[in-house]
Amino acid sequence: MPIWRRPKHSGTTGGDKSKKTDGQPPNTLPPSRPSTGKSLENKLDWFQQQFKNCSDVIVRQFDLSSGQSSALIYIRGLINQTTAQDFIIRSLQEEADSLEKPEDIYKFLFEDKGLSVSQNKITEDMNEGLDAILDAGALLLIDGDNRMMTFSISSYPTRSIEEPPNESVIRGPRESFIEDLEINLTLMRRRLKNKGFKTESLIIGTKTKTDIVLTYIDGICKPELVDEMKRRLSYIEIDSVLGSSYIEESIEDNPYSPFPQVQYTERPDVVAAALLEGRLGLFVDGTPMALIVPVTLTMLLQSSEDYFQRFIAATWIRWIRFFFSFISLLLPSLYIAITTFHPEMIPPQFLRTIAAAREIVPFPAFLEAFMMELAFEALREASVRIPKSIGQAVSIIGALIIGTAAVEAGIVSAAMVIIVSLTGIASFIIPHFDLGLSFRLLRFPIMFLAAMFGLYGIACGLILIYIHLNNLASFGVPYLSPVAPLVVSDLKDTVVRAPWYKMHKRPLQTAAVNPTRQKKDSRGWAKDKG
Amino acid sequence: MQKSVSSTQIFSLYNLHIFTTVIAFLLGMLISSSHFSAPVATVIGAFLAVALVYPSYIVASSRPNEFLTEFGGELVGRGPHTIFILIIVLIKLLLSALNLREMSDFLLSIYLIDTPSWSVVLIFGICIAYAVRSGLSTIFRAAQGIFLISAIAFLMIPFLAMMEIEKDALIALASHLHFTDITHGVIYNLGMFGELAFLFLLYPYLKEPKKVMKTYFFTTLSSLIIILSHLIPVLLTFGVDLGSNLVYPDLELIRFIRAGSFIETLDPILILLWLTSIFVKISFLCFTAVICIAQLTGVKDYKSLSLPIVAFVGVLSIAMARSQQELSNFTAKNLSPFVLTAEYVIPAIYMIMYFIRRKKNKSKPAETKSAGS
Amino acid sequence: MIWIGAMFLVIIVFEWLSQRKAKVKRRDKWIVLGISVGLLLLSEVLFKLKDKWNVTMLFEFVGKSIDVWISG
Repeated sequence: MPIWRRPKHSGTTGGDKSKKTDGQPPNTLPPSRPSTGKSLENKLDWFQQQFKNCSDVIVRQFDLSSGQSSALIYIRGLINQTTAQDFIIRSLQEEADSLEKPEDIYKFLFEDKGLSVSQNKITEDMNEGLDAILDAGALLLIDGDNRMMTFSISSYPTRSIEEPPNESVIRGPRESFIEDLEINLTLMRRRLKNKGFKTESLIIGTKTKTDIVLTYIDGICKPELVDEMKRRLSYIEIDSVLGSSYIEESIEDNPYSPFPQVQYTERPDVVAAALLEGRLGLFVDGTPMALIVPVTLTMLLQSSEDYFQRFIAATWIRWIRFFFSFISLLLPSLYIAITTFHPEMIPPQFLRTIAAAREIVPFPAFLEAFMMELAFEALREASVRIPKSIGQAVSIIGALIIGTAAVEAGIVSAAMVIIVSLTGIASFIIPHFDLGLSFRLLRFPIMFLAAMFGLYGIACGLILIYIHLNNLASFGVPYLSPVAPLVVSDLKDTVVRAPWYKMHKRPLQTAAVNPTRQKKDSRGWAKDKG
Repeated sequence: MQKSVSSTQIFSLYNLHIFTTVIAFLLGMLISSSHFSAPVATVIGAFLAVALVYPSYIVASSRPNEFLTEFGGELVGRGPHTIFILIIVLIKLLLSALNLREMSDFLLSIYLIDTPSWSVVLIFGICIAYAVRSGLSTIFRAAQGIFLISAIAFLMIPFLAMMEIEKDALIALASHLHFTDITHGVIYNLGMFGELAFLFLLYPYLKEPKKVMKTYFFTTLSSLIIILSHLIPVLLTFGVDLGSNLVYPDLELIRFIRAGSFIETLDPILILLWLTSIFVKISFLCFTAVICIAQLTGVKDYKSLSLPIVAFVGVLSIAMARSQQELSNFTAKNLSPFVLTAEYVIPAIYMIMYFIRRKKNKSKPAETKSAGS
Repeated sequence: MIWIGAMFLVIIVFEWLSQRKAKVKRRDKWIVLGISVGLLLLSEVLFKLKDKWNVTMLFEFVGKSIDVWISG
């Protein structure tokens, strides 16, 4: 895997800027070439000092069969101990006569003994050796030689590949990413058997040394987009990266916007499809989610299921989704506006029912809606943390209290309960969770405007949101593309889901470098009668 | 200079710009001045406006990478140029305030009775200020996004109102034509459609400047279709007397629609359509005013001027007339000459001076830094 | 009237601070301030006199004057 060295920036990471650190952030590792000399004991002392109070660091000292003292350092639990013990140590103890140089040892182990490792390296840099141990490797030290050998024989427990918990589909692949970066990249490689699929890696996080991999397809993705992503990542000098959200907030164009400008997914097929449209994927070790940029509002309203169902059904479901997105944002506000300011819009029979229901409620429509929405938000948030064993019971109680009892007590009207339930269901239709959160957040100010000015207030609120969306861009791509600015050819996968045999072009906003997806009409056989 | 405005965006914005205000607020005035000649007057006025806007195009395209506000002083002299630009800016601010006032009057009289006018203007002003501050490309993109829905909705309304039309009166549109009525109507429409001229103050922003006149032609055609699709039903449903006495005849037309028992009246839906379209129009007018003032004064970043100018437009809209009657009188009688001066006479003067100077073979410097970049 | 003044004051302060943050030239800051203050004064005058005298009356007056001047 090619390692991308980030360009150094002048200035410190943060912390006490008054201290001169010569460009090095404070609390850094010791100088790269401590003067330990060739002595094994000195080298071991150095490592033992670095790993002071680390009981899981194992130092196995042994003699090579040639008589030289040596030591193997590794972290228990991170490496394959059988390989370390039986293969490396035993082979070197018993069969490594007249092997003095590291190259000879490597040749002996790899060619003669058939040791299989993904990476190995000879280094004189103590810090590199330290990093290799921390990165699930083993480090072999030999007395009388400056050089150290690293073996990447990692074998730590990982979660098995499961069905995506948040993006399940009825028809389509059921694999999701896990926390291990290598396995995630393997899942991608299986789908993109193309030499153009690039995986540029870097390390971010001075303390956690988290591996980040930038993926794209060379020849489809715009080089400027890749450069821009690298430029933004180069500015991150944080001490720890424990999840992709640490990166997301640093690279998105407008972090203060309620709307997400970076998509995340736990599905490899979604990432593969995005890369094939000229977008970028970002993987963070330890996170079972990949980030995808650039993103538009319409992309966030699409689901991978759309591409596995028949196009007519998928189009219909998409329209339902668009409609219910509006419902999720506007339904309570419309109820407040219409019942307070525009009752003439409601048919008389229905108006009588609503009026009768609201007669016993002591609160104005806005307060009623606000209380119910707040209660629903609390219920939704609580349900995330409720233990599974009692979750079902608590949901039933919550529904009963909020639904039936509140109505019977006259605190809220039945219509309001229906409104809130519909709104809640509508918000779960939005495939992307962050976008659903945005709509939930924006619902409240629009309710307030509706209470003050009726439909005019709702219109003004929508105009403000609309202008904000028009302003927003994700890595140079306007957020409302392809509707505004209008890109007619891209509408075939926005307003509708065109059949695959009609989708000859990739989205122009991201894949202008290589816009042709398919040249021939894949249903041409129907025209050729012969 | 980022060329960010495409032809389709110009088409979208100007369609909304023209047909919304005419349909929402000016139908009564058109009918009262032109009676059954209103449709013919509208057609003539629209195409005449496209022709008369041509001098603006010539002047702007003489230096496609510079703003007229910046190089205009070299054509007519610095003093007259400042006065001309100030007149144009004042007219634009006045039109913005007028549209804002008409919209707030409409809302306050029909839907938001007892609501103080300042609150309605304040909320809308915030939206406009945000849009102006966001820039021209945002305004044009916003127009592009809502144009199709607005156009379809505006075109659907007359179809739904078809049942109420007095079809026998259709012949009057051809038989009751009078020259005076047509002249009055043409003058009003020249003022409306002449707002196309203001785009030439922003010529360097255009991606395809050479196609602008062609875009204008199609914009005029499409907005004419939409306007006539409302004007003719209003004329044929209410007649001349009632139509000219109604303040909002289009609203009354919509109230005639019976769309089944589901929604008794559709007019609150009209609010949404009108609001978004008027918002785009006022934002564009305010933006051009802001950018002209910024370029005239040499201020690099126009955004700093957006808030005070929009606030002034808001106050002006409240203070500009004591009553709706006074406002209607102003729109009908006193406004047109000043608007026509800003849209046609001033660009024509620039064009004449441009030709005179070109004849004298004076060269211009290559590029200047501008506030719009 | 107080509210118009307060609104303009907030706008002026906001613009001044954002221009300072953006390190705008002093000349531009003063021009923006001058224009804002000018518009504030104009707004106050217009609002104060809105019941006695307004823009529509001004245009009517100017229009009539031009008519008289043209007709001689």
